[in-house]
Amino acid sequence: MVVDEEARAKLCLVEAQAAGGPALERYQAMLEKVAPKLREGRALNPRAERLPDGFEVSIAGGLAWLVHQRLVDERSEELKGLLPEMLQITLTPYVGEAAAARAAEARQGGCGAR
Amino acid sequence: MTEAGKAGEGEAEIAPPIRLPAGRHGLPREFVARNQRERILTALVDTVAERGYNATTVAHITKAASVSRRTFYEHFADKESCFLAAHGMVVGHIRASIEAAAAAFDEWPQQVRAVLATLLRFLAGEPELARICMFEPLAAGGEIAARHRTSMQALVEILKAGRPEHAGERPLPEATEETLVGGIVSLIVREIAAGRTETLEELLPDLVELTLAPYVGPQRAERVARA
Repeated sequence: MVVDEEARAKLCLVEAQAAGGPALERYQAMLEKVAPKLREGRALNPRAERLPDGFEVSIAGGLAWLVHQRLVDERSEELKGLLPEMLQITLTPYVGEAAAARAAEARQGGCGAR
Repeated sequence: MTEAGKAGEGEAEIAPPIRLPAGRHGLPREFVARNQRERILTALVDTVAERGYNATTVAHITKAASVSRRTFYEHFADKESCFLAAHGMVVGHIRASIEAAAAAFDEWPQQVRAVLATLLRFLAGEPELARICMFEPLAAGGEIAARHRTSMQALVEILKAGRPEHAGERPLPEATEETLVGGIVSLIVREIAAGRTETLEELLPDLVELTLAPYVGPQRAERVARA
């Protein structure tokens, strides 16, 4: 979506921060909104229940940072190739390294097929 | 400025300067110029903390520094170059501090803990400087945002040094460090935006745990974080 709608993605992820004030607050709120969805993953692994409180916000922020850097540097073409890694990084704490890597590899195949 | 910000090189550059007496004072020209530059930088830090970078003008800075516009432009080409000078000094100080903190430990997980502790302690002790180096660059865009990204690269390199600690069957994804640094920045910016800069150190255990876990596993990461 970010690659297909680069201008809108820049508006949400880059310009929103640059505008400061309410736009920045909305950007922060967006990260907070993603967090509960990720938090559902804690049910997949008893160990995941012990993850730090801010873990999901940091993951959402880290992923947004990856996208942000590439949009600012005009490297948005890298984003599709980055998707499997983003998936693996996000899933590992919930499902473990092996399962997360398998999911990423499956996604890699999906990316290649597109 | 608190004690946390007084230590180390670079920091003294933006300590509140001495206001020179008006008129002919017989002080050496170099001393006057240095004092004026420091006053301008201090004024920039205070003004940006109060108004934000985008809303700050050169007029605000010169008024707060009690210098003329001509004096300002003798030292800086524009507001952006003034901000970059302040940002560079703050980042230089932080970099020297975290390198010294890391050097005190042999083991990489302890080094990461020391680096994060040092960073959070500095930011919490210097809320205005925290805005200059972590918050305002996001809003400023352009060269300032680019400089911010470059400065964050130092953290990426520190984390990359932990790859040999990873005992998993597969290598960590290439984007691991960049994602972790982005996550650290997000959590810090969230606290600054919420007006909780002075309690940033409370983030330390969580930041250490989530940063170390990909490399050393969740159990060891938790032990180091909660030690």
